[in-house]
Amino acid sequence: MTNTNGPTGDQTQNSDHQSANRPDGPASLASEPVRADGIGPLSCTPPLEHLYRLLDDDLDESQRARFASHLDECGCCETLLQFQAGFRQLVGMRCHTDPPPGLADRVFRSLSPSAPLNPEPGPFDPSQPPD
Amino acid sequence: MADQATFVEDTEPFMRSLYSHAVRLAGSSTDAEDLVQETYLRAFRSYGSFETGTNLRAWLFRILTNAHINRYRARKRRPDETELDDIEDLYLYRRLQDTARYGRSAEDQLMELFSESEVVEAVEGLPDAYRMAVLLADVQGFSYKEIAEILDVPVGTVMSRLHRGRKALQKELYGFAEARGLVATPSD
Repeated sequence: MTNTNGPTGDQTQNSDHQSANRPDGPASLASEPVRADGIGPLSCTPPLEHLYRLLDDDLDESQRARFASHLDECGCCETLLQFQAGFRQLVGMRCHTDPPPGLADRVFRSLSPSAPLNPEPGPFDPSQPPD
Repeated sequence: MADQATFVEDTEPFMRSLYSHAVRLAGSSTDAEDLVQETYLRAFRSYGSFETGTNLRAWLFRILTNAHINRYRARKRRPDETELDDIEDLYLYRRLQDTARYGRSAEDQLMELFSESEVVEAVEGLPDAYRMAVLLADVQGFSYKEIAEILDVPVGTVMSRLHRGRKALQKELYGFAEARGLVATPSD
């Protein structure tokens, strides 16, 4: 099997999910034994979880090296990885909110052994959606 | 009781990221400020039991997380736990294939496609458990192990929440792009 099926192919995706943990996986990496770390031979569309572990820096040195060498050969995986990395960046950059001025002063001023631990929660306002 | 000056010096550098996280959890700046205040007060009181040399930032996020969960329980504003529907793995990726333009990074294209308010709305729409995992990983950059400690769940649970949370987020965002006519409605 060559890597001609893009990540968009349903068949590819499903079969690869299963084959990823089988020694008779895709020809390109079939010579690699299944490893105890659960990352079997990488196929054109590795399980998304593996991509996430790469992006989230959860792979060890040798796992990363194996991924890198696969990505060198496999344009569609590289594209998918770039996309997922871009998405992670999007969320990271869009979700930051700066604190209001003076927050640190207010917070640290309130530190006292006798301060009430749980500030009275405001009344529930049904007109205000939780989001 | 820890020495207040030491506590302030040690913990102040994390207030910015704690506040940002609190806003995404609590949904409003007022609630977020209360949450940060409570977090620091709780942290100050138990600072004596904090093991120097261990992960202070993760410890503070854990306190904030628990304070947030307790508040929601008290207010009963949301169901404790909502399960996400199963969504196909490459939901957004597959649908944006046609819109993708070569020569520009995926990040640039996604940033152009989705505004801050859309991303925030999609994130805040996620059930709590998934939202926390996604925010801790993608915004705060914590490792799976740290997130597991902060949320007090096994690493496998962290991974599955991240996986499902990210997919749900992508689906929601695609809906926004579709509604704005930025992408074609799929024929299937």
